[in-house]
Amino acid sequence: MVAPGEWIILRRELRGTFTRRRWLAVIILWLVASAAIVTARWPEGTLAPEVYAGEARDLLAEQCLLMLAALACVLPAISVTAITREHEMDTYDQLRLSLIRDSALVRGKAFASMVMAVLFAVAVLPMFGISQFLLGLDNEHIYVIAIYILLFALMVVSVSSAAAFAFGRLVPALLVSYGICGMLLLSPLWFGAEAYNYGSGLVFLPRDEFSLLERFPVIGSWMLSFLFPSTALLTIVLDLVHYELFAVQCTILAGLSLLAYGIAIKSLRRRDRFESSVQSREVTDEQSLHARRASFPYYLVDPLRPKPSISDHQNPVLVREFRCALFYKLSTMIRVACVTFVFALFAIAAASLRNSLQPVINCLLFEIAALALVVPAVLAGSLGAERRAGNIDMIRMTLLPPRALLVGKLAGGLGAMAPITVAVAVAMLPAFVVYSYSHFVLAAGIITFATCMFVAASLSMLVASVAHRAETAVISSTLLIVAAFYLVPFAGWAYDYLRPGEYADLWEYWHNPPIHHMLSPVMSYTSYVSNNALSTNDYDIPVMAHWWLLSQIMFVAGSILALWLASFSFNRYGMRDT
Amino acid sequence: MAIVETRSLTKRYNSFTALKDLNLTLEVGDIFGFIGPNGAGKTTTIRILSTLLVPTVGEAFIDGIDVTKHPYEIKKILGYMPDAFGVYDGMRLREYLDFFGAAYKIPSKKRRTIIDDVLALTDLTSKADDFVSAFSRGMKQRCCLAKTLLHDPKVLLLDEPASGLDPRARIEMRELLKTLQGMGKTILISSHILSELGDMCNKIGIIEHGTLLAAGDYREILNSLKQEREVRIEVLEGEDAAARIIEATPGVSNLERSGSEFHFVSMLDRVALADLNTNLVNAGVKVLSFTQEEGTLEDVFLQVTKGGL
Repeated sequence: MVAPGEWIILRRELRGTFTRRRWLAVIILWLVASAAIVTARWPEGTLAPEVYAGEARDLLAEQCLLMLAALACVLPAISVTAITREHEMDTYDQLRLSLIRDSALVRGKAFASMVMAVLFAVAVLPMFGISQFLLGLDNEHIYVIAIYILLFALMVVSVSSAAAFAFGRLVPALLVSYGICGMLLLSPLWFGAEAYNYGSGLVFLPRDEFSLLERFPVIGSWMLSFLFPSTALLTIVLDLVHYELFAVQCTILAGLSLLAYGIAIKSLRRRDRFESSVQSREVTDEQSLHARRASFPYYLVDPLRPKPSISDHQNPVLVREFRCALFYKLSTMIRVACVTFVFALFAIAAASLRNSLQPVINCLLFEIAALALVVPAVLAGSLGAERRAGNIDMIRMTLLPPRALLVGKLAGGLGAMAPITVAVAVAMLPAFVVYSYSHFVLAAGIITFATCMFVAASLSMLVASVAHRAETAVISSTLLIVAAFYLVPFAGWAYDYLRPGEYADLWEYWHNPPIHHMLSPVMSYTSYVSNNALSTNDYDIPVMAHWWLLSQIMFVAGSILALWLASFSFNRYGMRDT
Repeated sequence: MAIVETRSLTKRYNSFTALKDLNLTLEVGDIFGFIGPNGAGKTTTIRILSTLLVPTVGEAFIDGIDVTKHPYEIKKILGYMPDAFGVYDGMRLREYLDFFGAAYKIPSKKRRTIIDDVLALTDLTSKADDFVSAFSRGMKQRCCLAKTLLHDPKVLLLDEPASGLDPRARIEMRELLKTLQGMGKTILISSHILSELGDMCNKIGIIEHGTLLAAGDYREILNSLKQEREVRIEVLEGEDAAARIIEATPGVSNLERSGSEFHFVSMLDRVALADLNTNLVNAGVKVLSFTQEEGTLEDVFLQVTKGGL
């Protein structure tokens, strides 16, 4: 009896995944985080039975959110790389020439990722089980959570697989997958009734009472169920919302999964989209450049114009980046910049309607969050691809110092992202005119944006200099940037949340921010401006009155250190073999 | 004068030893064929010599300069052509060479002339304004070799330069390497195409499982390793006498006669073969030709290496 195609693919995928120690480390990390939540949140003293039940539900909901976050972080990476690596290793054509059907190939890949999701869930079952000791927890809640987590995982895997099959390349596939997962993951922060409203700039919600969702509850329910499932899950577990909403959500997740599955199979059957890298090109490079130039009228550098010789005092890597590579990157980045600009203008419009600066700040924060996705794609991805092609080795054999290579690549990447910075700055101009009393807040926001871009670029360079493969470079630098931007304040915030009592309410929390907010360029700005920007005279140490600026300087200095480390890695012995 | 020298060069990756006590000496103008099965340690050796890898133990010198201590000086006199390399998108050949010329700190005033020279040498002048990413495999190999020659290196390390090339491109590559040898370059080539290495190289090294099994002058190795040789003798008169003498000579086997031609496998050394020829002449046999068929690099390779992984 011949094994089905799905099983053949699944077995090979799992063998590859389980032999990589990094996934074991992720599972252990995840288990530790889950155990930490249980330890921190375990109720102390003797409680009434109904209080026990509430505590148990809270505990379960928090663990559940953590699991959704872990799955949203890990599953796209697993699903996308499982598919794009076939392309990079030129094994894809061999698979397609075999008798395995296209649908079986898609299912095999998806099942392998689902097994990892189940493994994640099983790893923390003991932690989930501990909640049962608190009594008062209905089995119904457990079923709801189990169904929801599986459907969520299925949706993430399907969307990631569809993106990978549709784009065929790592970076766009990861961007789409993480973009969708990020939306779902951040939704509680954006829309939580009690949480700080980051998303108001995005959905025109300067304050809850003025929100579209409040005014139009029917639309609100659908948007809620579609965009913010994890928030709704919380409310279900906390018995706040009806189960009908849960059914709608499950239907949407299942529908989304099916749709993504269909897209994946259709993309797979479009042979030209996923052609092998060893296949010879049908058009010459010059023809493709003509075609590309015709479809992209915004170019700053004409790739077809013969270039003058590089002069003696110039950095050749930098010159090449600007003369040749910039065109390829800009054609994408200009479009991203247009979206950024339109998005920022919406935020300005929302701010004008509400007569509040908050949407503008929210918009800036959203743009900064997007940097964590865009910068690794531009810098780490391109550097990883060059290393795979062997170009980096050839440059290392020249007389150029590692610093020149690093500066050239960094400048090229930042140059490619310049349109986004310009778009944000230009979109901010009306706000400068309208809110003349808030110039500092706006200027600080743009400086924060620039700082974050530099921090992200430096971290990307550092990761790309040590990572062996392009996908490792992109994924690792994305996670590192997110950690640099948000980990410390989030950990502090979680600690404060888990140990209530220090602050009377969230208003007080945000208006008397803890000093650990300084350890994030984003949060230092958010806290500083939410604290009316200037009411920091209470600090005993005078220099701390400008702690936002200190934070920015500290991060820029840290980034320069990261670049120095990257330069060290680029040196002949620090860099691993290509 | 030794221009490339390695002493007890060893490279370990955890418990795996990729290279074990490699001792190698190349003189100026040598073309050294570095042969061995896949994973034998050829590329590791080349990457250590080209400053891209640090050896675990041992030393390597190029033109008397320590590879690990003075990598910058080494890069000035070394040209390295890797087995796998990429080319940049959106660059014409002249721009590509200009980029690497600038990276090798060649002054811009001289660079154009040098680029024209290497384009002519590699027969790429007509392709100077074409995009390198659209080149065929053979053209890319030439392009990479042109890049490697830009700074006029004394030593060339070529890792599988002929792999993936069609027969014509291989012949052209071989001619090009001979031209470079004529220019006084010392060349170390690793290749799997043994027949071509045999034609080009004056020295060879055979490596397997990280250990150098044989190294030195190609002819000497051939003679020292090849115990059995095929000998062909053609006579004008005295075929029967010749047959008797040859048959009676110790160390001769598999004698075949085809008219006036004799063909046999010989275990005789050079002196004994000369004695055989003298015996034939003294016996009145009119010898028209007496040739010893040369062994090939393939024979030596198969004899020296054990195979297996």
